[in-house]
Amino acid sequence: MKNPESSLDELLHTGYRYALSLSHNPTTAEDLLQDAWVAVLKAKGAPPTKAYLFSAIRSRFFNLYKRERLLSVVSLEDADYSDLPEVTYSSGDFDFEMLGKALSMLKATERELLFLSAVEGYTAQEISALTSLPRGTVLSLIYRSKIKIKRYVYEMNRGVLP
Amino acid sequence: MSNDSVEKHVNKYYMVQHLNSSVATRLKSISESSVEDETPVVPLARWPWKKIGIASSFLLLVMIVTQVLYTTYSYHDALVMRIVQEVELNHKKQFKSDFVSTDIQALAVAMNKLEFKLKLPTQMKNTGYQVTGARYCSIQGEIAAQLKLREDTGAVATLYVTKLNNQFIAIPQQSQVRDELSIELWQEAGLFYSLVRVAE
Repeated sequence: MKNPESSLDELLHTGYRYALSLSHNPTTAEDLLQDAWVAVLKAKGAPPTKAYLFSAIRSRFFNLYKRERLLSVVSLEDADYSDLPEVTYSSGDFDFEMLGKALSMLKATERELLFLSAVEGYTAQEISALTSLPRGTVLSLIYRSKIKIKRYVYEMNRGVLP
Repeated sequence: MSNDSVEKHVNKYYMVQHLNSSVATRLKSISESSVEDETPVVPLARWPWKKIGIASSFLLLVMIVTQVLYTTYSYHDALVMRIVQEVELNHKKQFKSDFVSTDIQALAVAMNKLEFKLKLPTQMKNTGYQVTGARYCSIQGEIAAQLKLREDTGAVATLYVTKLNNQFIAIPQQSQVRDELSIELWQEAGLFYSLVRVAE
């Protein structure tokens, strides 16, 4: 059985990471988490579930950055990846700083979906339910995000990008 | 490098990110104080609208009933006041009797326009009152008999008798003194009576 203290810690850190995936800014992520945390405590009178906290953080983020919602999406079937060539190199090419920069190049929704999939282990269907995006769009965006990251790292290593 | 390996790196990238410990401590303390001290604020959408609706309906019903009762009692009060003023005024005019008789039965026969059978109320039988005559009058538009009575003391009293219609039926027995006159109102056997006499 988990210690309530540690599960609360875990929830806060998870919430922070999710907020970070949306904002890609530690200070904004802390603000989002705090704002959502206080709001759900007022509403429920008790620490929320992870899904509830994520939902609160998400709605606050998109209220703050409404333009992010205008993200254009392409379904997996219609996607044109001709501009995103597959690249091949070793995982040693990835360093922490470079990955951070690569993630910063993604749109908030792309980072969010990648986070939910790669870190939280959510299925496309679960992500679809959480984000209200069609499952096909979720799969498309995750796939496209990975290609973008790989391409960025490839070009960084070639010295193409500053 | 496969897309899966990208996921692994992304996972590592986020898993090493931690919330500042001071922020975490502050948020935990907020949650503890919230659980211990605060009553949760219920969002507007989760207010018990059904209960509020029932309570509002009940309150509205109470208000309507109160208003109806108030209006009814006000109406009855006003009606009593009008009757009292009317019988008092007629008593003071001391009109001559159109039918002169000391026999109530004879007066009842003579006053054939009345829509009821004229008779003395129980409480006035075998008392010191003597009928001396009568005339037609009206009380609040209802045809009535105005009987002139003489008391043992010689004082003149006036008894009004009319049919107990929908207006008068709601008026309870009562008496009041106005301008040294005692005015009584009561119902008996389908008739409405009013006696005006000198107050004792």
